[in-house]
Amino acid sequence: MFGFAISTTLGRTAPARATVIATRNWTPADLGSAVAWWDAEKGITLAGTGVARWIDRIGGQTVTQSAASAQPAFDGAARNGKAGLVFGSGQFLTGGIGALPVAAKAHTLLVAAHATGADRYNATVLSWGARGTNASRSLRVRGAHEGVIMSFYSNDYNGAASWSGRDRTVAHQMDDQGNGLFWADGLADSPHQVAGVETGATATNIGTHVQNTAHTVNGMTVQQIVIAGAVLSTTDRQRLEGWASWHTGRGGRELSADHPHRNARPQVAA
Amino acid sequence: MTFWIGRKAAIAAAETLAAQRVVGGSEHCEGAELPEAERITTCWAIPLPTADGRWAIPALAGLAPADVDTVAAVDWATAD
Repeated sequence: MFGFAISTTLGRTAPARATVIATRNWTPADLGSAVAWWDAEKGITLAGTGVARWIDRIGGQTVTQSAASAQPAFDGAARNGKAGLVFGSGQFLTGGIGALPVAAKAHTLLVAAHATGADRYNATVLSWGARGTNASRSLRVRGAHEGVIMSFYSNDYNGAASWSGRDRTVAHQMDDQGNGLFWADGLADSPHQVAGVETGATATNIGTHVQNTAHTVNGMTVQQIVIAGAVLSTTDRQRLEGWASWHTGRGGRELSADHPHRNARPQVAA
Repeated sequence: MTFWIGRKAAIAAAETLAAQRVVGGSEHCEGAELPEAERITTCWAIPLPTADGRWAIPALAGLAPADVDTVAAVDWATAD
């Protein structure tokens, strides 16, 4: 969709002059550092109602599930009229490492999802890396109505925000010095220092952990996942949060009152 | 969610029975049907060991395989 911003210069002698700047909706593809964007609106292969494959819109990174019972369900109007993948117990998608950040490289990840609150101990929303201590990076929930975790198996860092019963946009950022921070719907949460990151390069799982695929989420509707291989500027992170809110049909409602995109979808010059 | 649980051979047979129901169905990407060679679904489930030394897979409604029990939850062998 395109929009127009109009600026006007009025002078005493000069005629009124109008500059029309064409704009379009900002997307994660506008982040130079984005390496993967799984969008529930695009790139999905359905086997019946199950999702057999999901392809990311940045690098074409593919996650699949060949076992029918382990395929998450697809709902084209899962939350606020927008699509989502509904992960039940024992369901997940898996694939290669793609271009995801490894070997202590910085990351910013964002997941827009709804949780019913049925999650079990350390249910894993997103995980990439290899098996072994400090070899993977995983966004998890500690359990029903408990906070999120960023886990670098087996070093875990707890956030305070609970996903249960809510549409949330959870972001986590780690710089190349190991400084980590969560954001829940745009609000900073639980800064921490990551001790030990030696991410291996083996697999990416959505809905469970690369170390142990028994740690599936249960009742999590995943709508958007974006991973960048860098720390984002505040402006870009807020654009990403704002985009996630508007792209998933929430229209800024969950964002704080002072968030720059609570009332307007992020735009860029076309 | 229910599971079939039993000896390894019985669970493998149950998986084969269920796979016959689900493999080979049409698959679609962006509204277009995939040719058979590009379909992804190859099985019903991957059997996993349980904490008591048996094996289990999710149950497929409408089937009643031999020599397995149907349970509501499984205590899996693996954990971290």
